[in-house]
Amino acid sequence: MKNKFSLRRAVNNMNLVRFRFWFQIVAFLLIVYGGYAGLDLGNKLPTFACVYNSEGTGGKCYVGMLQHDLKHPLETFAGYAGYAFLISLGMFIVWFWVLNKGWCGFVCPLGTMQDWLSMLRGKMKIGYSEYSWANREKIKSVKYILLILLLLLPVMIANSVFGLPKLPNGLSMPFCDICPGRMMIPAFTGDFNQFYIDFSSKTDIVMTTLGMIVSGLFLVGSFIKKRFFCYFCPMAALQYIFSKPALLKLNKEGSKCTRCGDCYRACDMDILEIADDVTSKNLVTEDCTLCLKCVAACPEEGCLEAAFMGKTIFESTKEGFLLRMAMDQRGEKHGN
Amino acid sequence: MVSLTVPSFADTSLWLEESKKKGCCKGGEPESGAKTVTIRKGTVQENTIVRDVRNGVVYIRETDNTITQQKVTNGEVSFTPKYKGSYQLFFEHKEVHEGILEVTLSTLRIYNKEGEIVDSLLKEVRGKTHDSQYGREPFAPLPFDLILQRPIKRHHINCCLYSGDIVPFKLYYRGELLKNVPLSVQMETGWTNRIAPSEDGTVSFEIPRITYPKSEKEKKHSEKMVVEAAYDLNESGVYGGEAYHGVHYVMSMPLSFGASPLEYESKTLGFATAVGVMLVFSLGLYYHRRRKRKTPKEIYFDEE
Repeated sequence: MKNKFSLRRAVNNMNLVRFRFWFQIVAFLLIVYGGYAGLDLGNKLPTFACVYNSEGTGGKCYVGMLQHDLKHPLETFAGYAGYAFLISLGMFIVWFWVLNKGWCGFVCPLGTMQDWLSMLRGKMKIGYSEYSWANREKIKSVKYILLILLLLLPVMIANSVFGLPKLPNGLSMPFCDICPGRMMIPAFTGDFNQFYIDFSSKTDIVMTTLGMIVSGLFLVGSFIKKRFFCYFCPMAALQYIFSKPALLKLNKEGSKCTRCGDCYRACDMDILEIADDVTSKNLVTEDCTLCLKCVAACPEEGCLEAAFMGKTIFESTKEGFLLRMAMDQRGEKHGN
Repeated sequence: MVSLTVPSFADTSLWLEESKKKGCCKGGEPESGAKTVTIRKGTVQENTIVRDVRNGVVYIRETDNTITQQKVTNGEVSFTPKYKGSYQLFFEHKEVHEGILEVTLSTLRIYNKEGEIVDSLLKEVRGKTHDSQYGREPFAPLPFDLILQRPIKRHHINCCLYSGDIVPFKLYYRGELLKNVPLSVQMETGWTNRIAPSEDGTVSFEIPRITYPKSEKEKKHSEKMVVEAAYDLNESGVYGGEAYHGVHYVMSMPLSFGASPLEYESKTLGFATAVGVMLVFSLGLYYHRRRKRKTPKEIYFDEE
């Protein structure tokens, strides 16, 4: 009983930033280089394990598979292709439910790259930027627009929707064309071949040029804004649709919240609800990456907790908060 | 004693070719998933279906490595693949001609895009991430085998072959790697060549870049080629009641390739666009920050 209590205490008092840093490195190695060691987690992962990182990847991103699954004529989709789509979606949901949005905060290689760029900015003592409150709602909707487009365009290649002419085949993987992961993830294995503009058709010129523009924006944006790309990520929008029944949850005990705002200030995604909302229990919002920095930054005993299958695995404590404050004073990062 | 010969393409041996379906559906109904493969003879440019192949057999290696055997009827073989995935076909034809047992072999990979969902449920759940079309194991029922290894590419597309790719092959006799057997290659455009093996037995060549697009609409043009190897053995025996004093193996592999993506892609411009965007974005931010001091992230939640 005493040991169990000690383990809980050790977890609650941990240096979250250090833990997350090493967890992300291991996940990055598995996803980006795992293929070289024979790792193959399938092609329905709820994270950016890039299909274009052909030999190194330890699994593949579901967004690529989803676009592929939808590019079928209605007749085929009513049979085999429809079943395949449902099975793939089911597998994606099963994978996703294990970690919920923790896939973004702890596993996503693109998220990890953004964290590394933010870290580099911090080391260079350059201040970060924020989106203005006026633009934030508009920015939030971009991910849903991208999700709708990536679902709709492949369907419109294989079918004439509302009597409109079929779209050119160059739009079969519309999100992959503009996803910065296509360029950045293979680059970590020494493959820079994805940096190109395709002049074979007008569609390819537009899509590959957009891809290059997004890559440039990704690199600079992630340097000056924490988790810059996650605000626009259609994977985050897709995940949010299925996040309610997930096994890993971020819970809040509103009665214990003093609305001090420490959790909000620690949040890379500037989620206001984490500090402001004292009525909801489940605080996994559409932008949340479940990085758990808010839990680490909360000074109130048991106010915020990460729970897996209803069992608390990490919660805010006064002791943990004070220890992390002391780490901060010693110059160690603890969670903010 | 072993001797080597290089086949002449004037009388190219037989090879397999998949008959392509036109369109996906007939009368609004999806077609059955049947695949038809024909036996062809001639050059890649001019060839005909060989209707009178006697003793011709096609082995079909399924995705789960089970092997089925079919007789060639009227120059073709039809089968319905059950699963989604790669099917490797092997054609074998034997006959004694002027005291020589002539063994004509050919191999072809077919990718089946659709399959019965009930049978392939586990495969779909698992997902497939690594392609197995390169560097397969030698096919045990055939003594002589030609195997395509992973090509070396200078571009980003891994699924298919393109001009400019270096394609390595290995030849096996009864599972043993042959290190001194050359290859003959013939392209649809008429280009032919004899390729000598390297010291480790790999025979490789760069798919010639003679497929430059003819017009704006043909940038993604594709072309066929046939790769062929021959191997002679001084063996004697009897086949079909006829005695022979030597065996002549010929193995062919038809392949198709597209025009290299490098012909219509610009990496320099890609990098320049990304770097240009970075520069413009960075400078914009720099001047924006100079003009407007950043306000601290400060909101007081305890103030109603």
